[in-house]
Amino acid sequence: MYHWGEGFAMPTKLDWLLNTPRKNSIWYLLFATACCGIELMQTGGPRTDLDRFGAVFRATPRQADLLLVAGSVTYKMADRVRRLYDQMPEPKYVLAMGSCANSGGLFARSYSVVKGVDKIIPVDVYLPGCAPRPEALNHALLTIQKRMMKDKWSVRRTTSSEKLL
Amino acid sequence: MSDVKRMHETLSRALPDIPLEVESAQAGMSWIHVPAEHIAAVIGHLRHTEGFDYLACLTGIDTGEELQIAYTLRSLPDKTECALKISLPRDEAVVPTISHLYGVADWFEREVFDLYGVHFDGHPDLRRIMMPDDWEGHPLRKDYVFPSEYHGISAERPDPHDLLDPEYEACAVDPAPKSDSKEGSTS
Repeated sequence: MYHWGEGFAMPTKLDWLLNTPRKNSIWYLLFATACCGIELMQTGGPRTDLDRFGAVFRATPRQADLLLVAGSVTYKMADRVRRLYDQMPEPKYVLAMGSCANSGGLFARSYSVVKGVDKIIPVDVYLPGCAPRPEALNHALLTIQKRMMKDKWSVRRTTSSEKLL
Repeated sequence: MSDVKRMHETLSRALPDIPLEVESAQAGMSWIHVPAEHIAAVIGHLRHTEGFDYLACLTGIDTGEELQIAYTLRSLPDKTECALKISLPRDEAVVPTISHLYGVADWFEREVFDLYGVHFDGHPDLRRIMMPDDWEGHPLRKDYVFPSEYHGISAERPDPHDLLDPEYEACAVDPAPKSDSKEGSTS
């Protein structure tokens, strides 16, 4: 008969058990709003192959774990970004790729561009650059993986986009 | 330039009632200035009689005093180009549409309406084309006030230079013209 032992070590093991497959199959949403999308495609290509980390693109938010905001987001697009985010199943992560997604970047003084995607949805990793090289995006994905390994199974990530407003 | 002058002569002969003037910028481009209410008649003549079969560009300009609309027409068989401009008052900008002459003018005019607030009389579907439908104001006007929020999304974000180095002057551009700086370097 199996004994749990003195220290109740199950949660840690359970975290590891849940997080390891999660981090090794990050399916990111196929969502590119500007030129960062070109680097995103490049990163999915053979040279810096995201597939070797189990990360492949999905064309629907219902199957995606990671919302990779690649490019500037306009106010018109903001409602759609929030909607896509809300359609993703938990647990979900957001990677703001490039200066525009981080802070508005080059278009920060424009009338129509959101000053950083963290005004709409919670962001886990900010990736600077205009546009970031594929190696940088690769590094950001590994950072997301590290971030995933720290998640506790008992703690629900409060990730509703409504909380920000 | 000769194209525009030649076209001005042709138009003046064909439409003697409409006052047309040739104007030119320092950079070399010249255009025919047309009274706003006659623009559809002039462009209709160019389209049907002079063979200008291609509307290359239709865009707006806000000079601060008045609104302008620039039309660039091309004739693909003759390889000629003709630019037209009209002036409109800022507070009551209404102009006849040319969307019945060129199909592409439909979206061009919606764009000018969206960004400059010019109303095109007779346009079949004059809605905003780029900004959201509930957007207020016309962003490319000189007197446009930038919104502080949209649908609850704040448009405020501090300048990182202010946070890191308050002494830093953002966008400090030397106003001295180029010729002066050249003299300064030689002396």
